[in-house]
Amino acid sequence: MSTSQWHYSRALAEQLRINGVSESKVREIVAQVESHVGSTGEDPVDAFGQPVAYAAQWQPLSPLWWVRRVGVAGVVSVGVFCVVMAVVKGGPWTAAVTIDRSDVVTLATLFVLLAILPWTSELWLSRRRGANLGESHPPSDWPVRIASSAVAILGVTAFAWLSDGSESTILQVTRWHLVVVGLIGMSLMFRAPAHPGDPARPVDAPWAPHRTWRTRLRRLLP
Amino acid sequence: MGRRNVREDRQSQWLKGVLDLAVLAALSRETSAYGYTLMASLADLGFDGIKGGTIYPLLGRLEDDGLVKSEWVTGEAGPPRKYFWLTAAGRAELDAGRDGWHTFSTSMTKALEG
Repeated sequence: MSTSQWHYSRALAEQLRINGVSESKVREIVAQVESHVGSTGEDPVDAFGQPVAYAAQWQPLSPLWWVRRVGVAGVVSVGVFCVVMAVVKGGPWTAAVTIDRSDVVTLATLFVLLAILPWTSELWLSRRRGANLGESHPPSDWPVRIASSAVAILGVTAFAWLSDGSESTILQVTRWHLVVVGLIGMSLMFRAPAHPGDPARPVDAPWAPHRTWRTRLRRLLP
Repeated sequence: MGRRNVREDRQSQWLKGVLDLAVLAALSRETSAYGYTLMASLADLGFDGIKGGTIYPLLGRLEDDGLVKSEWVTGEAGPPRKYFWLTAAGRAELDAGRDGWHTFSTSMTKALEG
């Protein structure tokens, strides 16, 4: 079964980003594939292999890189937790907000949703898709999604059950401190490497002139 | 593994060790070339069956090592193409590789033919 260049480009860009290849290099590699396929008419899977294998030729996924990305996603979830606590608990900005053991369940839920699930089951599904491109009957993602969600819910529920009834104070911190720490943590979202489920084909071509933020902004304005 | 597979595997191992030199040599003959013409040039010399999945990452590594340079060229006909050419360091690497290969192949021929 033949593979469309568009599908291949998206899958390859996704796998390259997962492996930590810089966006400028992703543009180059995808453009080279499109140029080759456009010149020869070859099927991209025949010419380059499955996207997971071809991306690994440029840069394999290193365990350290994976740990770093889970860590960054963990810091982002702490940031979201701090902002949520500052908003939910309310009160004057200078008043102390009490974080007790039951609040840690919220943090655990955020950590599972923002760090663990994306970088385990979603990553695995993405790599499976990128290793079976063009197959007429690709395996369904849903059994894995349902099973991993069930495990995550069970894990958080067990954690909540273990800390149930215990409202012992862990930390007291002023509300504005929570907001500042939260916003700093959340800002890592913009600096963090791409989420594993980011299959966007690069928009800019490597031969196009570099567009600055100013020119991008000017194009948006009427 | 059958004997035929062992032979094919040995040939692919040999090629893996010298493909960078073959690419540098092809680039020195062509002055500048894009991926597909390089593959065609290597196929004319008997190195057929080399896929894009092998040649482009190799060109990328050669570029990272400063042995080749590249530039995207957009034409009216056909898709934009990335042309590669040798740098001075690439020529020096090719010359050193040629010397090394002559020494190695002479020794290997002696070992095989006595």
